[in-house]
Amino acid sequence: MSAAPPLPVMTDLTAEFYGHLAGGTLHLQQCTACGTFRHLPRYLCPSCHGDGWAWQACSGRGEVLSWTTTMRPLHPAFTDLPMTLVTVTMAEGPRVLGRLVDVAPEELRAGMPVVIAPKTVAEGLAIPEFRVAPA
Amino acid sequence: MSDLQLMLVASLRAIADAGLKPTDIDAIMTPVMSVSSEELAANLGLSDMAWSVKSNIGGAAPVASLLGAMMAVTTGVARAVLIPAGLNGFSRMQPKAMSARADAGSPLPPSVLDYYVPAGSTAPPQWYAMMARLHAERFGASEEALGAVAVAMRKHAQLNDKALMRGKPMSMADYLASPLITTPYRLLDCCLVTDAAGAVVVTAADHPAARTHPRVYLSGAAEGHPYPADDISNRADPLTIGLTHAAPRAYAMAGIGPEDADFAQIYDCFTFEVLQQIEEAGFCRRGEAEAFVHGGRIELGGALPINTHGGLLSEAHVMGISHIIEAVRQLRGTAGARQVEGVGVGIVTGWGDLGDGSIAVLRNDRRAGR
Repeated sequence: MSAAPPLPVMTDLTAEFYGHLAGGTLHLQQCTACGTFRHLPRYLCPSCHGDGWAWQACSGRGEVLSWTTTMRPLHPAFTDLPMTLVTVTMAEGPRVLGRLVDVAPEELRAGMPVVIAPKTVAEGLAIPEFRVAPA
Repeated sequence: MSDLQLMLVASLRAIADAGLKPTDIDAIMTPVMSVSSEELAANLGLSDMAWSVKSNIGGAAPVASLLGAMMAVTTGVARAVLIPAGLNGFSRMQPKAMSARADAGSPLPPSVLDYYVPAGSTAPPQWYAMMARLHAERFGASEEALGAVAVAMRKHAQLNDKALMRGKPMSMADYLASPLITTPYRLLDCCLVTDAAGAVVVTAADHPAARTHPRVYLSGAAEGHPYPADDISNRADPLTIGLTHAAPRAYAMAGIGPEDADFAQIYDCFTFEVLQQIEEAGFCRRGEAEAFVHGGRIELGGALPINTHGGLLSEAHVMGISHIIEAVRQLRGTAGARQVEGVGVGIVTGWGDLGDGSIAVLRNDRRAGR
């Protein structure tokens, strides 16, 4: 039996990010001044220093940049192993970290197309999780 | 013993080694973790602490603190700076201590707590594996390259009576047989977790304490950060780390480069981080570390002995302060059975958090320079 999963602290920008994801669609911050997408959430646009943003609904599609498959428990809440974590470059540019499910470790490769499938981990709270994109 | 007790024991020894009294210390650079300069000063009887600062970059903090200490003693802000570091990492991981500490708060940054940990990316080897995997994609990698680092550290530990792994030699076959923890890291790619502390005293070169031993000079030092420092995923070049920026600054300050080093003490939280820092510190080009570590080249007697004390992997996890202490011993000529002959220059690196970096160039009187 695993321990309760650690959850994000739902304040400020983190609450906004996860609030959108709970609706089932990945939203990323887009600068209203220069149009640059960003993640992790920030108050200023690192490109133009604009302080306005919109939460844009994203395609949810991306490609695997890198990964690790965890074989031994490193945290009491994550004992269903092996577990593959991936860094995904989203179609909009920013990269999102999450678990990739339904893939055998030997099938992992850089550039593998994946799609986000938000996973509900608590009432009203979903986190990024990925599946291999259908061909 | 608490972190504070461990650091106090080490501080008293370092101060005595410098030929000083505790009250000669007038500045403290504290590492991360639980201990404050104020607590240290209260215990050491420092009635007039002229300066204190905390470097909050994990295992990069001790070497980065050398830079701060250099700035303090060369500007006259302080005369003798104490840099203690350590932690009771083994004791605090025991189940009873874990429950007692449950409300003590996490040292992890919000980026990690809010965006990595909920997904199951809870531990440093999982974060760093993303860089290791990417490096392998670009340049290829063999398990034996990682293993060569682990084997070299273990070999050096056999010559260090303070090393936890003394008396426990390890072969490449042992390494390859150890279980995978999170790919590509095996158990023997991961540093030890120990209760340990160390301390360093920095003074100006003309301070009386500098005559207590053969002089060891801090010729150059620098700190650097990847961008963004708090998120390993969203970096334009994911292989660029703090050391990439810091190393050229330290070499320029010192007028000494990586080609001049007689040994290096590289922060070895995990084996890949040693390969990566060998490249980013300029000992070879990016992608060449695998060839660099093969054939015993980083072992004592090789072209560039690395972590002659056994490092975090085989001596103890002292947050990198032991890398500085070992460099000083080598440059004083007091490293005993693991002494590198004829040394003049040593390079020490630190690595912390999500790739923050630090580097120091140290020399003795055999090598002229700043």
